Amino acid sequence: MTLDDLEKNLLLYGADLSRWRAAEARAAQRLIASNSAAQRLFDDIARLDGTLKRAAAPEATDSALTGRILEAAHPRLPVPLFPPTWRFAATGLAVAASIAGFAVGYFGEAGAMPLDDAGYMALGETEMESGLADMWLLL
Amino acid sequence: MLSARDDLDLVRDVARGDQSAFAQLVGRHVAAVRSVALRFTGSTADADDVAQDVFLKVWTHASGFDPEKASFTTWLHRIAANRCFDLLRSRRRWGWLGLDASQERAATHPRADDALAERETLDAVRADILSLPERQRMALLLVVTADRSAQDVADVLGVSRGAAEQLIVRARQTLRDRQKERAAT
Repeated sequence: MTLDDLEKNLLLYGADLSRWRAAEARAAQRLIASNSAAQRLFDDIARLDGTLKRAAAPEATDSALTGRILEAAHPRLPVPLFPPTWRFAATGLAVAASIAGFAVGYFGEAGAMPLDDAGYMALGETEMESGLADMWLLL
Repeated sequence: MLSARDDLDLVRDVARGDQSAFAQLVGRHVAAVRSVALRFTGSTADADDVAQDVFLKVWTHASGFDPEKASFTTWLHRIAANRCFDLLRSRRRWGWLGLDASQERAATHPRADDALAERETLDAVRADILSLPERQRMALLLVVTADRSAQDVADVLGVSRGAAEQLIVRARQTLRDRQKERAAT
């Protein structure tokens, strides 16, 4: 392996020789051990790799992003204003109120039956009597 | 055991509308996808948007995944890479740079405090990564951040293995040169 080969492989695979093909890794190790320029090259790339790993390593993702993705993929159904038990109770109350209203309306109407003729006559007499009494006062 | 199911099983279930399988895929891969997007765009907001778009595409297009053509991870990163390229293209079209990105670049200015030296070094390298040509940047991030091979990079970017290797070599060479320049100053 030449210095140029070593440099190309270091730039391509990095300074972690376990990621290299086995034969090339062995050749690189021999060159680095015997050549100071190769050692400097290796140290350069190892330093760069270390910085790169720290600068561009995967970052943990907070659960908010995961939640946001899942939410966007399957949006929730609209949240009901009241829970189901409340809705049953409200429906029951509305039905009961309707029945009660109907009953009051029906039976209340029947209790206030229109006046018959006798009734009107009686009322008329009373008013007429009252009117006559007023006339007597004027006289 | 459910957690031991491989990606292929999960993506098949996702294609049938299995929400639990989808949640497992997201949990397994969201960090890598988001991290590549973060270092590619330089913006946390953009990275979150890219991650969301990528997984929504997985959810809606899982039935179109062909395991004969690529592994699930390669398919996933191809979607992510295309989304990242689209994002930058649209930004260039409208001549707009996100506030988030500009803030993160502003944070790369050197500071006097020695305690922040490590942070400054990492910020400088991240700025160097952001300044790489797009395809070199994506190739390098797929290797360094997503731990993909040169062949995977070729498959994700739709180029030959030789071309992918060139992208990786050039990216590392540029970063190495910048590191030397910084060390000299």
